[in-house]
Order: sequence, then C-alpha cells, then structure tokens
Amino acid sequence: MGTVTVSTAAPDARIAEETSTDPSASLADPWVTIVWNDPVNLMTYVAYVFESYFGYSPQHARTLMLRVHNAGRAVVSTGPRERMEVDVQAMHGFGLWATMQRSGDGEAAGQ
Amino acid sequence: MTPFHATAGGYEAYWRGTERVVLAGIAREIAAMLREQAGLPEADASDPDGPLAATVQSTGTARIPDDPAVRRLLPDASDDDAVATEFRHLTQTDLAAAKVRGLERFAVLVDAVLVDADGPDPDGQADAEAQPAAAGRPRGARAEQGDEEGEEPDSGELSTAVVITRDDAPTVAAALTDLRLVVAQRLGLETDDDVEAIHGDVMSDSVAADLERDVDAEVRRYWGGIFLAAGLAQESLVGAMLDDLRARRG
Repeated sequence: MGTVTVSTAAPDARIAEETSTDPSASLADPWVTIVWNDPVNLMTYVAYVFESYFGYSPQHARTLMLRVHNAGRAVVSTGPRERMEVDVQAMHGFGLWATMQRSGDGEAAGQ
Repeated sequence: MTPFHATAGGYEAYWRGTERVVLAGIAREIAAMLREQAGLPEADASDPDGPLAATVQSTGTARIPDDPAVRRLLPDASDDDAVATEFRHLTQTDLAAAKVRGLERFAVLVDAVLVDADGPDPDGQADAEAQPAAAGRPRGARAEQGDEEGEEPDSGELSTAVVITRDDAPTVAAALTDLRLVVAQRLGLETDDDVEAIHGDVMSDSVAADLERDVDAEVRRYWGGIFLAAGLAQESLVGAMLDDLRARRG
C-alpha cells in the first residue's frame, strides 16, 4: 500500500472540481468512495461486488478491480456525502475496505 | 471439498463432515467475537433474530473494536477522525449485526444442510430445526447423476452436498470473506506474498513455523488449511454467481 501511484487514482472530474472558481463549489464538492487493496479479497469477489452493487459493466468493474489491485486503491463512486456513507457501509458489509473523503482532499494525505 | 457449481436450486458443492463442522464453528466464533466487540447482546437461541433486531434501534456510542481482526471487519471509514467516528456511530451496530446474522446463517447452511431429493428448502426458515438425519445426503445417493470431479477418497469420510440458494449466496459469499479476513489476520497475512506463501506451503504440505510472527507450524498448517478451503469455496461460489449475474443482464 505504500507504493501507490496516486496519479492513476485521480479522475478527471476531480481536476475540474479543483480548478473551479465558483465560491459555492465547496458546498457542492462531491465526495468519493475509495476501495483499498488487501491481500485477502479475491479479484473475482471484488469484480462481483462492483458489478452487482454498483451495476457497473464487467469491463468497468474489471478496470476498477485492477486499479485497486495494482495501484492499491480506486475511486469507485462519487456523489453527495450521504450517498457515499451508504456506499462505504455497503462495501464494509461485503468485506471490502473502503473509505470516503471529499473529492478535493485525497492525494495530499499522502496515502 | 469440491468447488461450487450452479444447479437449478442454487449452488452446490460437496464437503466432508469435518469441513462443515470446522467452518461452521469458526463462523460462529467470529459472530460471537463481533457481538462482544461491537457491544451487541448475547445470542438467544430461542429467538435468534430478536435481540439483534432490537439493537438496531438502540443508541449509544459505538466503540472502536480492540481486536485487530474485528477492526478489519468494522474499519475506519475515513482518515478524518471526526468523519470516521460519526460513521461508526451511525453504522457500526447495524453493520456488525448484519455480519453476525450472515455468519450464523452460513453456519446453519453448512452444518445443518436441509436438502431433500427435490432440492434445498425453498424458504430456508426450517433450517434451524433440521433433523440430523436430514443433514446432507450421502454422495452415493447421487451417483447415477454422474460424480463430481475432485473427490478425495483418502479420508474415507463421506462428502455430502452443501446447497446454497441464489437468495442466500451473497450472504454466504460475504460470510466467507469475513471468515477469510479474520483467519488471515490470525495468520499474519499482510501482503500478496504472504498469501502466496501460505498457499504454496499448504498445497505442498510443507508448512513451517513463522518465526517472525511467532506462529508455530501446527497452528499455521491448521489455519492455513482453513484459509485455503474457505478460499476455494468462495472463489467457486462467486465465479458461479458472477456467471449468473452476467447472464441475467445479457
């Protein structure tokens, strides 16, 4: 987990958000749900969770699953904080390790 | 233990009696540990859903589990302490209760499998009262349908069908995940290399002590075997579930 290439985890939407000059942007700032790699969860299971819970296509789920595996983490959903709480709780229910944060934070935390 | 495969009634695998008893026992131990660590009430055998259902309405500050394996099952939801604390307060009781229910459901399904010739119990409600005589059927009873691959004749112990309905499958997959996470924590498996090493050692029957973590060879062999068995069950079950999910979506 210590060797994460953070640039791969930054979606375009986040960059757009950061460059916004709208003073209300901070209120509208979406949050993100991040799933972290762990050595125990099976790739098949992670793909199943992404397809069944988020309704992602097999291709998109696989891309995210590989990003988790290779980069150590991936942003799997974006939205208001309340929605991300639901997603994080669901991920924990599945046994995946997930966190949430404001989409602008993140990479500065050095993780 | 054979891999799960899809059948008309759900997903089916053949497990030996010891595999059933051991995996069900560990699932119940983890459920009890989650109850204790998350501050849920004790199980009440006469009304298994009652106390847990009641705690969902209870209030109070959720405590951070001090057991590292339970912390992995109920992890911090943020590196911002305030966010993590609030999240734990809002969700931990429900999350722990759901995991306890799932682990206990898994245990009932594997150690008191109620299967008759027509397939699994359709509503799953009667499992807790399953008669011992009805717990699984001998492999020989299905021999005319063609034997499953992977039979292990060495032990002389009968393998019987574990049937997981499609409704139960996500619960079972999650319970197997929780079980593997706890066993992995006990074994000190922290990296992909650690996991590969235990796989290799168990498969080649060359498990040695882990001196670095002070886990002796016997403990490593026992828990390593359980980790692999639960992994085989989960991988095959989830693979079949994923095939079904994709087929449904076209």
